[in-house]
Amino acid sequence: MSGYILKRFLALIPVLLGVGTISFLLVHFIPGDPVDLILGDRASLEDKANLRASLNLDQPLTTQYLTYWKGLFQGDMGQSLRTHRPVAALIQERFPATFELALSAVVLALLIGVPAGALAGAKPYSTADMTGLGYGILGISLPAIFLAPVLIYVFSMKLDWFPVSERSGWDSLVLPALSLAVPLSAVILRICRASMLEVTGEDYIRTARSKGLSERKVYLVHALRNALIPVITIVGLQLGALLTGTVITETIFDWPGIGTLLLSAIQQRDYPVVQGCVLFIAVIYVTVNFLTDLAYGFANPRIRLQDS
Amino acid sequence: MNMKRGPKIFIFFGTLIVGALFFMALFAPILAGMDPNEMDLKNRLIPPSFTHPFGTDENGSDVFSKIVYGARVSLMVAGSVVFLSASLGLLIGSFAGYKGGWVDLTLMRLIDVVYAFPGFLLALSLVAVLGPSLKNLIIAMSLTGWASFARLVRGEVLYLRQKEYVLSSRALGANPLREIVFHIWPNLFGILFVQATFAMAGVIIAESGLSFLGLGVPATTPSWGALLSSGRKVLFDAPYVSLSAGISIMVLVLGFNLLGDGLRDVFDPRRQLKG
Repeated sequence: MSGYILKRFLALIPVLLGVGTISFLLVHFIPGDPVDLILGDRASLEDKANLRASLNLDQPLTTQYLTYWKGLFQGDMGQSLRTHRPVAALIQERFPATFELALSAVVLALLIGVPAGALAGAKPYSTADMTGLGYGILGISLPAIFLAPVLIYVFSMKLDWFPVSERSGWDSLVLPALSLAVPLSAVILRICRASMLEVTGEDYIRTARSKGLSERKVYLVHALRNALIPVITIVGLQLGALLTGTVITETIFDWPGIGTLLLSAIQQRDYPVVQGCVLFIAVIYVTVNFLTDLAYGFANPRIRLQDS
Repeated sequence: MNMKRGPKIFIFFGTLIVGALFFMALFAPILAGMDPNEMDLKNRLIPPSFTHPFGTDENGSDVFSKIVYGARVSLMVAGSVVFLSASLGLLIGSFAGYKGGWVDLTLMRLIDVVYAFPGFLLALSLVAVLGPSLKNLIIAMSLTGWASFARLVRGEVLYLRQKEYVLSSRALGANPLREIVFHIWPNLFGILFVQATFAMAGVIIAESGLSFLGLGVPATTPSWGALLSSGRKVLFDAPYVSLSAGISIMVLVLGFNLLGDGLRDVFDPRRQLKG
């Protein structure tokens, strides 16, 4: 197992280097002079020179690149051009809201997707299965920009059960979490159903049956446990994606997370914040995927033995 | 439903939906009946009626016309992005898989790095720095979309290049280009097509999301995402604006997902059981 972990960990290094480089280059992709874009045409030459110096844009590209990495290793991601606060502090402030939302959405999606998928897979082509399949394909086709307004219209505006937006108590979490959880639960349902179907054809299930175990035990103890292995991967990937801030859901619900931080930085041309957010997002995403890989290897000895 | 009929039904309904919306996009000027950008401030927020089947928005523009023209944008952007990223992925994936060695290793690392960014956020940031326009939107989404195609193609090429008929063509003196184009590619187009179908669904969702945030197609072009964004402001008084745009996106995405599910069962029998 330690060989497997080490191998996966070493593979991370070139990816992180590449991620850092892309985040650095992002600001240099801007057509024209970023300083003109930030300050506008009417700014004085002195202001422009000052900003250029504070962004290190007056240095050669290689020097800028090295300074950038040196800063990163010291936890310095630069300063916001608008609020003049450190980018790292801004991210630290916003991340808990994103974390809370992502985790609730994943838990909710698992609660819907796993039982429904397992049931559908255990009784293929039954009514329950057909309903599940219908929910599965409709759910993955539902974009957040549509689901969120529908939820707001029905549950906030008409029924007045939950607040329309902004993060206040637990009840403000319900609608945004639900709008993320529905498509995710559809994905989980489909994966869970498919792997349940595959698993129930395996020899060990026949063995369990021939031992005289009840159907309940066969499904819950032997089949479901193995059927859940592929679910780990998909949930890990999706958690990674959700933790990086779901710009759309956060925007619609006025949720103060990483996604809205990135979007407002983009709108205000606050490039250091954009750069910091992109880097942070990629690092979180890569780390969660790495942990998912480990969990997958842990749950499925065949994978880690094959690899080492 | 039996196993054999499943994929056929999916393909049938998928083709029907995608075909109908494609037809709608093609003949938008005839079907719309009205200029989607024409403002008529006296007739703001009119509920669905005979003259305005989906009502009017906060500027008095006809929502139905916007939906019809919006299909054009969605299909055109998704078609261009999927075509570009699939072509790029096919070339890069074939090269990596066929060459092997350090070429493969380097390209795979590049793919890993692109994969390390959540696609939507990378496209969003790219559009933001390049400036929102139709061209930049397509470029940004293709630059993030090719990696998954390349990964798929590379795996298939690795598998196919050691097949006997490929080896025998090489033994007969076929050059590498001929070997790839005539013997390997025809055998992976099926899987590539399935992936492209699912990618269409993904790009349509992403494009409408970017347009919703004001970072997609320019505001003067009628798009479903922009319509949802303006519908959000009048959600309480005129839910039909959001509803018609949202349902349109969902139906088109559903069409491609059904088609993809059905085609996968046909082209990829190894995965037949995975519904």
